[in-house]
Amino acid sequence: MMVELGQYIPGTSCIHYLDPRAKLLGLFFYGLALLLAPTGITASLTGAAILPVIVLAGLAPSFIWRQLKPLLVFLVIIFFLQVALTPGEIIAAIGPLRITREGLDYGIMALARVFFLIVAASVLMATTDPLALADGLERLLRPGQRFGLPSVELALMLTLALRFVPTLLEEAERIMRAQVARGATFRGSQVKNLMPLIIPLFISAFRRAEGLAEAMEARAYRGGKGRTRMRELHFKPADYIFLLLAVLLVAGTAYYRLGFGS
Amino acid sequence: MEISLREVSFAYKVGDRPLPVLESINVRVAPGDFLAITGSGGSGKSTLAMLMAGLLEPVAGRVILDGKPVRGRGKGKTHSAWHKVGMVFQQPEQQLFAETVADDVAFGPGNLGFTGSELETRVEEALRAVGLDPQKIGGHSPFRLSGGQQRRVAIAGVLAMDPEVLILDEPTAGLDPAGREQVLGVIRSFYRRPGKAVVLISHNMAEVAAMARQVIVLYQGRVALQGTPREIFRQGEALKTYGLIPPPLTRLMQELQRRGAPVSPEIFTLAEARAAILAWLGA
Repeated sequence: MMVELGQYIPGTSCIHYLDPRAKLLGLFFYGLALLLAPTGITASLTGAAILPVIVLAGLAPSFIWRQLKPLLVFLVIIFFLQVALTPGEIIAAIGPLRITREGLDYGIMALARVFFLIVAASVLMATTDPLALADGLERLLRPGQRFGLPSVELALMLTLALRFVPTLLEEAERIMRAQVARGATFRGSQVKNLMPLIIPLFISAFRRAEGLAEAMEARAYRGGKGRTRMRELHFKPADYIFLLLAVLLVAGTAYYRLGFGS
Repeated sequence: MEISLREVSFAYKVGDRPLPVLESINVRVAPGDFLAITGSGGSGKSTLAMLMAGLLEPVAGRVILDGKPVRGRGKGKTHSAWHKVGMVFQQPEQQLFAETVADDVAFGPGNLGFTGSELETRVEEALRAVGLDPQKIGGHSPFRLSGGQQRRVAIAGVLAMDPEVLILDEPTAGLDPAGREQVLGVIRSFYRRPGKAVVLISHNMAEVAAMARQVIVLYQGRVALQGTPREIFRQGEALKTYGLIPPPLTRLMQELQRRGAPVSPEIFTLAEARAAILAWLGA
């Protein structure tokens, strides 16, 4: 089994124990700070704030690397597009390609933003149980209920979707084997060739969904209203400190932007 | 077609560690054989079935078809050899996908390259072999049929490829008694044809006792017992340690004998039991 994107690595570090809401808000502030940072250097320095978090969470560099690897091409393309397409003071030219000082700066900035956001998101996913994450998201979206935002349903959908990913993968493998036993090859690009896999998979997914809905109703599930929780979320001092640091990061980059940016 | 597994081991990979499932398995199936593979849950029955059908490749040992070592289905140039081995998975009705029963049954032979009237003949023969009327049911959507009928359509889809060895993984699980009898009937009539062999994976001891010529009991990925049903079910106590119990009829006869009735404890069919009890009562 390969390491999947956004995989949860159970652990006992202080980052694991942070409130999921604090971590979600922390990611939000971190992203905000990255966007506010006005130059390539500042964006990189801002992004480096994730490094102590990685160390505290006890995540191996190789784990982070495996998370980034599938997105590497994407990152490289972002960087080169910025470098090649930004007009300004030319510092080097390779054939028709002109590299400008501004382009290089933008390139580093764009790279740092995307790179560190992916790293931070995978750290969040790696240190937070998906159920706790959905819980936290629901709590954070709860004020939106007043404006008709179905926060409970959204969180439930997210939890169920995450829960059924491995189940459906297993199912797909099983059906694929059965069809291979009947001489199917699943090679070629035609959608028609995939029908023997897709149709049974859909049928079983619908059947599962129906069964799950019935099982939930049988256990008296009726949405969020009046529902109590087994795991109550409570902010602890560490959560406040974590959030304070995240807000300080935003304040710092905002100050830098207002003070030195044009 | 002869399938032979020599010193075959298999392990799934969980994370970076191998999780051993089967160890040093030796099995041989030749024309005319009816082999039952049984064992408690998690003993490796289904994995062994997939190895015998070429759908998994062993991590050690060799799989030999008609004397030639081969790789798994779709790997290397062993394509045609595997086509003589049909595999019916657990709950095979879940693999149905086509708009009509006839189209679904035609999928396998179609993949083998059959077309036109030859394909039609194969589909009709396969449907008749599972007791369904091609004229009446061939044009129906498979999803409208009853559970038992769906399963027979799925089995027809494998029979239409005209296998020489038929491997079935729990073919009667989840069916009502009538559906169960019909599926067993399909297996019996396949087995009666010359040159055919059946491998039945089942933890239903009554089925195993009534149908199989040879039985393999798997326990924790190894062959724990091997022999005829008579030899296997004689060992009631040993079976228990492997998480199995002899079929109800055999247990009844063993209990009768324990209480002093002069009956043989090695009885597997209703007819045998009836004769034994009548003989005892008549005496």
